[in-house]
Amino acid sequence: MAAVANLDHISQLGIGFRPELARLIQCRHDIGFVEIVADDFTHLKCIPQALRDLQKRGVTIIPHSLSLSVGGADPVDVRRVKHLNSLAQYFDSPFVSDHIAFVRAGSLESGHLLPVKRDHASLRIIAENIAAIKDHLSIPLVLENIATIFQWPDNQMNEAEFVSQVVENTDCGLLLDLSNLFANSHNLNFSALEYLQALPLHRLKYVHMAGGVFKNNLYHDSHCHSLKKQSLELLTALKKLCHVERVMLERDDKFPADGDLELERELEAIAHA
Amino acid sequence: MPDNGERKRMAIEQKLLLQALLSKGDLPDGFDRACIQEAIKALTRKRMRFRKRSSQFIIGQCKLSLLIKALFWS
Repeated sequence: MAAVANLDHISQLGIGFRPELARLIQCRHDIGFVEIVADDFTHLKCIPQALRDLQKRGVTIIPHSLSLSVGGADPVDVRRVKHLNSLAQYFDSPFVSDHIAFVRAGSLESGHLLPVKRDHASLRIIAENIAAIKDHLSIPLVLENIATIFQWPDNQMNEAEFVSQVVENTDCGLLLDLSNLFANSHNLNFSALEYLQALPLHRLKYVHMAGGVFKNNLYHDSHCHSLKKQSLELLTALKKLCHVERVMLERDDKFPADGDLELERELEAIAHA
Repeated sequence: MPDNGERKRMAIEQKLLLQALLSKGDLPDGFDRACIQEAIKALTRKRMRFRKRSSQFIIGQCKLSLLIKALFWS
C-alpha cells in the first residue's frame, strides 16, 4: 500500500532523489517533487528509468547543482550552466538551484561548499557571476544558504543580511536549508529565529531539511544521520512567518536498513511540523 | 560591476584558504584555527565517504562485467 502523509501546512513534500531511495520514493504517492543532483547526471542518457517514471506520474523534478561556484572568483563555467539548463528543459522544471558558496579556486577543487567573505565586493562579484549564469538559463535560479563551521575574518555583514542582499540584488529565488541554518546558528552562535525574520521570505521557493550529528560541541550537517528536532522546530517557526510551498528531506549516505522506516518517519515529521 | 582588482583579490584569498583546507598551505591570518581544523577533518571524512562509495560502485561494475562475461562464455 502506498504511504501518504497528511500535508497540513505545506503544498508539496519532496525528497532528494538517490538511487538507494528510488523504491521508497516510488511507494510514496505524497511525494510531489524530487530534487536531483545535476552533477550526478553527466548526460541525459544517464537518467534512470525511475526518474522518468516519476516524471510521468507528475512529480516535479528540480535540478540542483553543487558546482557553479556562484561565490567564486573564477569565471563562470558555461558548460556547467548549459548542462543544468538542459536537465531543466528535459524535466520541464520550474527552476534550478545552487548555493551561495565557492567550490574551486584556480586549479583547486574543494569537493565541498565553502563560505564566501560577506562584504560588498563579494556581493558585486556574485551579482556579475549570476548575470553570466542567467545568460544561459531559460528558467529562474534559486540560491541556497550553506552550512559552515568557520567564517571569514572581516565580514562586513551577518549571514542573513548577506543572503538577503544576494537574492534581492540578483532577483533570484531563495532555497532555505533549515538544517544548515540550525548548524550555523549553533556553531557560530547566533539566533536562528532572528535570521528567519530578516530574510526576504517572499522569495522562498523551497526548503531543505537534513540530518546531522553533534561532534566536539559542533553540529555537522552530515546528511547521513537522523533529522534533529531543532530543524523541525525551525520549520514550525518558518510556517508561522510565511506560506511554505515545498519542503524536502535530503539523505546522502548511510541509508537506513530498517525498510526505510527512519526516512518514512522523518517525512511524516516534516509534513506535520 | 566589480573592478578587476576586486576579483583578483578574491581569487587570491579564496586560493589561500582552499590551500589551507586541503593541507597544501598555511592558514591565512585572521581565521579561527580550531574551527578550520574541524573543517579540515570534516572535509577529509567527506572525501573518504565519497571514495568508499565510488570504490563500491566500481567493484559492483566489475562484478557485473564478470557475470556478463561468464554468461557469455557459458
